[in-house]
Amino acid sequence: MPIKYTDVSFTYNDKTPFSYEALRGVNLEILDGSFTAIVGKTGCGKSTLIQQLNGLLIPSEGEVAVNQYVVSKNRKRRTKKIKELRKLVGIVFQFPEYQLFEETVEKDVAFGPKNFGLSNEEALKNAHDALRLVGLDDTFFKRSPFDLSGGERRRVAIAGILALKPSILVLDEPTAGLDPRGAREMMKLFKGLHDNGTTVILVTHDMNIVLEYSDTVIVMEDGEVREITTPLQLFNQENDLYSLETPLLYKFVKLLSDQGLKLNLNEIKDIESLGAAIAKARGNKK
Amino acid sequence: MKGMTLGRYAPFNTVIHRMDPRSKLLMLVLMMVAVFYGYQSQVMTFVMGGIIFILILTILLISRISLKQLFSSLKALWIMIIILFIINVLVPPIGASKIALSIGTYNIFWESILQSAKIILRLVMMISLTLILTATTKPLDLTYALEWYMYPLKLIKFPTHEIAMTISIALRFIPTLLDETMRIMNAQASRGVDFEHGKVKEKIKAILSLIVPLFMSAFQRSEELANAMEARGYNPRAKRTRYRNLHWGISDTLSLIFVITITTGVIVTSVMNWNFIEMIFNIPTWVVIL
Repeated sequence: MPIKYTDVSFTYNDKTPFSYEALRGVNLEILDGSFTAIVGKTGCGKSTLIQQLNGLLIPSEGEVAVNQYVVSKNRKRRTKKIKELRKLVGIVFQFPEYQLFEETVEKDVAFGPKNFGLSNEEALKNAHDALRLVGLDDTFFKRSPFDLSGGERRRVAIAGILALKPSILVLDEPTAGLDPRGAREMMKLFKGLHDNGTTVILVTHDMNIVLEYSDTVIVMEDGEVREITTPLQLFNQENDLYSLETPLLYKFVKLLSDQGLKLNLNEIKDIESLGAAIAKARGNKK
Repeated sequence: MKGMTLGRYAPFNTVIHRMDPRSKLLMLVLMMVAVFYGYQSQVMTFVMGGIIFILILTILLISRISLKQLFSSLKALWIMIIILFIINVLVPPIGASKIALSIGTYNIFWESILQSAKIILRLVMMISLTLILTATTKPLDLTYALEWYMYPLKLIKFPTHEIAMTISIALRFIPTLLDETMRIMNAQASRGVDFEHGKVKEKIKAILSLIVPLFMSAFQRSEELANAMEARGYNPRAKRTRYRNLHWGISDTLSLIFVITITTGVIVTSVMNWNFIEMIFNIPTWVVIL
């Protein structure tokens, strides 16, 4: 079991007048190689949940295990190799473009790998690979990150995490504030990484993304995990319960099948697959 | 980061919290005067100090500040206290004569120890007083009070409003920038930065990876704020009304009278050199000279 939360609770500013309970008795497991979406209202504890994954926050109660690494208040059980854990779990925070600081793009992206002990050449090689992966070509390498546009800066920041080659990639609303095309390209990139074996955990408010990419959905509310399910099951029930917006595509498909068109809901992830499914249902062999 | 929240406003609803920031500020100054007044005999210094200290502790309890909070704010002072003690021991006060301890040929005098104890007591009282003010008064209210006290300076064209506005904006952004710092630290820690351990060179790099983004965002925020203020027609010279007005109540008057009485009492005792301890208990003269 690669990721396992056991009775995890977390309280900010514990034992002060400002104490705030962000997580309450969270139990969950995330499988190797899954694409998991975490959804829920703002302030329901999603960001707190993911920060426990690489030991940035230590649970007030309970423990989080990632492979052999344990994050816990208990000093005996807690892993001593927090750095190895951070190399294993790459977290891209919300609006990561604010974390850039180096003079050139390639130096900034190579900063992470160098921190984890790679030589200068290796780090730069990783950086170049990661930058090409996020769609920034060689002309960007020597530019200052502060001269780039917001979207390009976001790519550089994400490349900064990808250059670490994490086997678990955690993304906190990576598409927030991007234009639709940029967001699509970004999600394609994460899908590609997932297809190559990376476990992806995605925090998002966009249910279209949940439907199209994820295989597991964790629904959170008031610091508790309410449901661990698949996107189809989630959208199939009454969603007003968690005030989640059912994707337009799903509504449309649902209406079509209610009208008598035989569609396999599991196959329909986006417009293309919808087209294919409709063609199939109507017996069009073309 | 935890250390930075010391003396932070704690949202309780006590008598002290409800009081006017102007009266609290004035009382702070008066109490400081009382704390720092000297006496000719050491016994009197400690007795008067003790009385004021008990008073301060009572106010701390009324305003629901935990003693733990006081201790944690004193933590930062430990080094200063030790240095003070060492200096006082190495350089005994003039006229020191009572030997407490002899290490070889070197003597440690009772006077040195008492002198350090006196300074420490005063420091603790001073910090408790400031803690009471900052923990029970919203920073913005405090700026309003300051602005109110600076009002007479307007006559000589001193930009009181601008200064008050600058202070309130600065205060307003302390928590925001702290949050921002935490965010950037988390993001860089995820990239393998270790802010606590490492060689000097690595540490400089770690700090740099925090400072540069922090400055970038601070500048950006200030620009956005300036634009937002201008868009809403902010003019520092305009006459303005306030959402929250300071309100001087009966509790303010009463406590101010109380504090004035104490301060006056302290000053009179000190100036007249009254030694009521000696009068009451008739303590042998060797203790008094101490």
